[in-house]
Amino acid sequence: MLSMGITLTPDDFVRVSKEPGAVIIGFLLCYVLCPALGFGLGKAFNLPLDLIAGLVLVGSINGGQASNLCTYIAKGDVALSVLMTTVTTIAGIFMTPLLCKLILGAVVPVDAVGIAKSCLQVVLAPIVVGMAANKYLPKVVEKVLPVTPVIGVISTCMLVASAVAQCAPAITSAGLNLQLPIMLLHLISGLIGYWIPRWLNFTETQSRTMAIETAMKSSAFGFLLAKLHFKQYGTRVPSAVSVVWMALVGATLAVIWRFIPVQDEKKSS
Amino acid sequence: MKGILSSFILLIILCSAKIAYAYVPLHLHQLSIRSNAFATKNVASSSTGRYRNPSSSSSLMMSEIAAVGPKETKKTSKLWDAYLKTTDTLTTLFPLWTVLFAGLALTRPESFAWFSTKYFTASLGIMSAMIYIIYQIPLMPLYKRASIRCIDALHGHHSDS
Repeated sequence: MLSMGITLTPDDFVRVSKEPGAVIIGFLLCYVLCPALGFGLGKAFNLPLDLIAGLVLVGSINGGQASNLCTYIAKGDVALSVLMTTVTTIAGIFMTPLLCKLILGAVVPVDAVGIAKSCLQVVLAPIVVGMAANKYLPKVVEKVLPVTPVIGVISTCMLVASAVAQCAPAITSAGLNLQLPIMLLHLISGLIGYWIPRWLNFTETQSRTMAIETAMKSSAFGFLLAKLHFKQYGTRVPSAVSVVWMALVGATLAVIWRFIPVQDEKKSS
Repeated sequence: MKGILSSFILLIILCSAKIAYAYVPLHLHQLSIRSNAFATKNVASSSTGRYRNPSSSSSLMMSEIAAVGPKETKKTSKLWDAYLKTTDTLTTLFPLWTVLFAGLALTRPESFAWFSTKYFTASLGIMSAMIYIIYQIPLMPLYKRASIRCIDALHGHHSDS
């Protein structure tokens, strides 16, 4: 979300789309590893059912919008990050309701159709609008561009504050027993999201990108889904805690990697 | 609650200092990059050879583009650069704002009551559209080219192999 620093060309996207393997593994990490990890951590910490449902929901949503910024800081592949966010976002229309229904359907009532509709409205429609604006209104985009970082920062602050404020009593009373599993959800998924690609012989740059993409989720979107489509109040609490932890974990991983140089890497395919 | 809050703040102070430190020198090198993705297209395609090199990371490519296009810098005023630098620093420090606003929301939840679900939804929509506006990704040409390359890759026709 920087107005300078990051420049991507169409060729960058052609380059990353030539290697769909990274996107496929990123997809699996996002929609298989994270929900399972959320469920496991919820059980391990003996959380009440509505909080476990909330943790699984955090695991089952698409990659966060800030992941591309963290990828840039971590010296990862920003084009790959954007592509993975786009893929998980589009797939989220059916993956998020499907996972919630499959994992949580027996535990809490899930409005799968409602979730899918929200995904279409809140996440997918803006992507289409954003891309179309570039194609058809380039002059308007040119004028709006310098203001976008400010809008981005304000939006992020308000989303975080609003989500946390609505759950403030629950967050305060749950204490560390809630903070810890959510922090671990992002941290462990980030570490596994790094080591699995490394083990599969992806490059250091690709692995960093996939790790950050896996660790960072659209938690604010998860909060909205929980609020609109889950009847239990408790399901929205983990998302509200996660908005902070996903930013912290993602940024921490990014800063650590920034100081570890990318070795001259050779891809063995 | 105070314990959680203070540990949050401690963590973020540690993080933000590192991020700020990591960022300042980088900006000095990259001041010239404030241009439309398509404006640099020619530059990018002229160095396609480098792009194909799997060992070069995206940040490397960015600095290469920066090195090729220094003329653009002269057009932009110093004030403008300062503005861009400030907003970029603000953006980079987003974990700090996240924690500060979370702390504020925990201690004074009533001050954010006016931010209704309508505003929340709108903000999410804006955030979602943002990266596609910032990276200036157009809809169709990219999709067409990307899907063709995807099919090529699936069939094992790597153009660079």
